[in-house]
Amino acid sequence: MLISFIIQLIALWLLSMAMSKHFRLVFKKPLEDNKAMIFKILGWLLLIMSFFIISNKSIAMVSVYWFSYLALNIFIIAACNAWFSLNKIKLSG
Amino acid sequence: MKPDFRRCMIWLHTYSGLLIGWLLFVIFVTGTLSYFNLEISQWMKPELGSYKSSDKLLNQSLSLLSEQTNKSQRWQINLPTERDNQFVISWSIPDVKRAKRFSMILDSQTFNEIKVRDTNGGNFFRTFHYTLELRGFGGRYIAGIAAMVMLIGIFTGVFTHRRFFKDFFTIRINKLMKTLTDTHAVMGVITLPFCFVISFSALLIYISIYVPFSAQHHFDNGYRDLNKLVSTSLPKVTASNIAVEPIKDLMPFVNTVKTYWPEKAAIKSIVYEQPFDSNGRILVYRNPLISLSNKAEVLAFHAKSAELLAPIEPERTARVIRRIFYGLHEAHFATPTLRWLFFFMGVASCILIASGLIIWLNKRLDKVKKRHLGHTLVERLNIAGIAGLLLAITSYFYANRIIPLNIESRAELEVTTFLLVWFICLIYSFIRPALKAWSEILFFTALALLLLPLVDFLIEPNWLMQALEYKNMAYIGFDLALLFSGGVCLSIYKWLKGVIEKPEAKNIKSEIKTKERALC
Repeated sequence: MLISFIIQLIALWLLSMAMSKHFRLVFKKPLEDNKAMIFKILGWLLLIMSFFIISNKSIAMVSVYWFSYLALNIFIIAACNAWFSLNKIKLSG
Repeated sequence: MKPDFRRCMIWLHTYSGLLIGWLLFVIFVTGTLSYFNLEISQWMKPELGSYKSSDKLLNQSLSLLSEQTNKSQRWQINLPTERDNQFVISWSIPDVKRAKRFSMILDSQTFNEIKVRDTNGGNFFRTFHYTLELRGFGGRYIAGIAAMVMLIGIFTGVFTHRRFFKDFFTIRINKLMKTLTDTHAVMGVITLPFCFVISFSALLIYISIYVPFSAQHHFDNGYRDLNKLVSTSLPKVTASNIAVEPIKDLMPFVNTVKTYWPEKAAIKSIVYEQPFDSNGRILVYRNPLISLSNKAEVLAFHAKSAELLAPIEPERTARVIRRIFYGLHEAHFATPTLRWLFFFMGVASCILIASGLIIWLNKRLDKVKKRHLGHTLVERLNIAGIAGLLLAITSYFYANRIIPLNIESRAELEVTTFLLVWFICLIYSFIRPALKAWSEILFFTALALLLLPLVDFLIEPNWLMQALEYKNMAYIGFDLALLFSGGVCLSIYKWLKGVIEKPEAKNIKSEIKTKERALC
């Protein structure tokens, strides 16, 4: 379960980095199209993988866990991006 | 057509949310607390202590039950668990209309009866979140309307927030309104499946009272008859009228149960039907940690021969689906990790609703030059509905510790305290300037929450000491949650104080400048 959680977190981070707004915020440079594509493909693959590595147990129960992790992980990524943007504002200020 | 449709969705999202937002907030806050219903009850019933369960309690319980009466038709033993530390034995004696039920709460170490304070405990939040203390006065209908509106809010919300998926991972922190809008959107995204399941299952649980017409048309007793037809259960025990002594050892049954349910502490409760008859039956109920369904898993044995009897027949698919949604709503299956995740999503839903209410007001106040009665009403109801509710909940915990134990209707008094404090907050929000009312109520809440563990310790230090000794995480966790919640309220209070002081400081600065210019 923990491995699935971590893989999902990485997947969501990659998907957020596939968006130019978030990429620029973290890496302070524009996002190239090919990089965006790689992030997107890797992100989706890892997201699917995070579900399948725990799907050996009851599918219904696993789905509940997976969706709960998803909520927490999206919040973590959003909070991290907000923290990056806050630091950017402070530095530029 | 497209822009008109979106505009309709925005209108529906805004006004359905506004009309019922406070009610939804109350339902979601109390519902979220219900995830820890049993843990809250442990804290509110400190007399129960922190003792762990064991299969060895079963045989001793049997001998205690046999001492009570030889007329009993049903014995029940509820074992204490980490979540629910009540060790209860109960027995029922046949009467003219209904069997009379007696019960004893026991100390699992000494087997002495424990006198527990009269309180609703965490169960108050569970019942309040769907009856609103209006059972018999349409409380469940009002909660049903709220669930329907929440579903509308979810669907219309997806159309309202145009950049829903583009701003998936963004919370802008530079401006208050932007922060609030982004928080509302992010919370909306992360709680989308949660809110849908919770609202939909809420409607499904009480479908019989919300849509009774079909069942009433086809059956004499409406849904009661329909329920009997679609629910499966074990057949009733037919008494042989051959009197026997009840069995004294449950361990052979426990050992058989372990082969079917290998997990630790699988047994939740044991029922002994017709203990003084040769056809007596033992029912063993499983702790609900394996299945999403709320259907109790049970193994039935013939008491004398210890033979495993036929299981309950599986139910129809439609019934199973309803049971799964029921189970998902109540989340009795959740392990501590999952329970905390549900709690997190519940809190996120509360933030979603509260931020929506605040956004509605701030957006309109920014546009209008002169506010009207509606704005003031929403502003004050926001204060009482959000901050006031938190203080009322805290006061409920204080009432549990402060109201003397020997007072009659003590449990009702605790609930009255909750409602009274909430009402006082409503009045307070109308007589104070808005920002000051927000910050002051939050300050009182923070102070009350932070002091509560200390008050608890001063009243009886032994409760916490025993919890620490037995590693009772429910009790310790509740104290820590109080401190954490107090800290959060204090941080919001400090931030609000800064917001209040900034314009005041600006005004003073500009006054000094004009005076300096006048002097020059």
